[in-house]
Amino acid sequence: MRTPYRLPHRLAALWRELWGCGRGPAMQLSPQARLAAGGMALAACLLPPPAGVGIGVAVTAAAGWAAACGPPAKVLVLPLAGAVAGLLPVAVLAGVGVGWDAGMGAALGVATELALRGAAAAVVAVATAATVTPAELEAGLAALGVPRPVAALLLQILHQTGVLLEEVGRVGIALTVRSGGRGGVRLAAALPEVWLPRLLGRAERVAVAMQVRGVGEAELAGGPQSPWRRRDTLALLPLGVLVVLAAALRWGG
Amino acid sequence: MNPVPALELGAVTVRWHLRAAPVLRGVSFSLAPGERAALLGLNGSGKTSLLLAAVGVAPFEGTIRVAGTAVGPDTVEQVRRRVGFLFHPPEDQLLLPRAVDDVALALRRRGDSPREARRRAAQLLAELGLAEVDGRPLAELSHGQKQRVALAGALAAGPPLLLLDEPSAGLDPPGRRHLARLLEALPAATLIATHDLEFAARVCRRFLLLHDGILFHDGPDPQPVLSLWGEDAQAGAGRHAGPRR
Repeated sequence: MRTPYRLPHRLAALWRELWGCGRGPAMQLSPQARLAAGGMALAACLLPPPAGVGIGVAVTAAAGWAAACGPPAKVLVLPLAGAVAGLLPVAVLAGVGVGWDAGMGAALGVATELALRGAAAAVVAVATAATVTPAELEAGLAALGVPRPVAALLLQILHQTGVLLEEVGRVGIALTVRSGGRGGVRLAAALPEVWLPRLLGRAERVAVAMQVRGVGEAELAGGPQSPWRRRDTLALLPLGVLVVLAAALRWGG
Repeated sequence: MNPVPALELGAVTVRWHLRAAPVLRGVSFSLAPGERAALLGLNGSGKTSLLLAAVGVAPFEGTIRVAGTAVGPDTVEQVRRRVGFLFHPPEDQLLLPRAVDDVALALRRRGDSPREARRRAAQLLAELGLAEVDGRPLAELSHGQKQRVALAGALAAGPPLLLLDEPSAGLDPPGRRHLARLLEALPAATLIATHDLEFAARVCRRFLLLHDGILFHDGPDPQPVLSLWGEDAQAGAGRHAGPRR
């Protein structure tokens, strides 16, 4: 039997599995090098113009970094599909907006560019997340000089995203059971009215807990630190070349 | 000379918003070091607001002192370091994805190195019968396990004052007994906000009853609570109404 509202549960499970699940050579780098490399790969995807060599640079950066991180395919596929599905309407609308003035060729170009860039960014983000456990993420952010309260907030956002996905699944099941197969649409329409105050209440209580438990206090010791090593620098070199190439293509005429 | 109370409230009034009616009105009592007291009251009687005022979250008039330090804007962080707080529901206070990291948070706040904090956190989880969950994602734990992980986080740094909001909620009978034994063995002063009278009677020797924001009763005898709450409470508390130390 198919379980109703499987998607939120599946997403929640994937979210939990995602962090630190990579098996590629990038896992040998220090956490801060993995984060820096992810940022560089993202820049190399977003900077170049959407034609010829530019597309080659973006695809090389995204595919190369994903291969280096080695996330399992199931972790990569669902977010990628979600990103494409979510971005497609935006891309089409943007394309149509351009199309009124510049013809359908230009419109298709804009839509394709948006979809490609979005997909590449999703791949890079998921691959980077697969290289760090939450503790490594914390250590990497600290080593990169991200202020402690900012890092704590970021970690909290990531943690609460997982909690939220779990809760969406539970509410979905409650909706299914209580509607008894009827009135589901009416209940789903009432969801924001019930759901948003609940979310706000939870956010307020979590904020209080963060205050009381001292999350983000400057004097908190950082996570386990790894020194920057030579292999970190060597690993970043090819990505650096791609970023420079992407910037040259964008701004070098 | 009397020791400095672990917690002291003087004519405390709590109102969450300027024009709102107060949820607590002129509440005064003190808790001696090592003393365990139950803060009883029906839903909405002000129990949680009192606990939150003690750690400087709920705005209050009057005075609150934790181990002699007045709670105020300048001292609130210092006060919070001396308090182990259990929130209800426990999910709200679990702030890191894995149990061992979450429990280690309090130890890192105290200044322990990350490695030492994790080691001690794992040890504490094992003592609480949670050795098997220390590396598991919190999302996979049952409510009772989450409750115990949250409690471990509150106990980890060995604070002299514990403020526990509904610690027995959602626990099965063996879990409650285990929690009661654990609390009885702790040296910290403990204020337990609950409407689980059976649990309170087992763990505490003093009963504070809040009713409509007023401290209605303060003493070693839960009888006024029983009178106010009726037969169900009598049946529950009666099981632990034997002689006390």
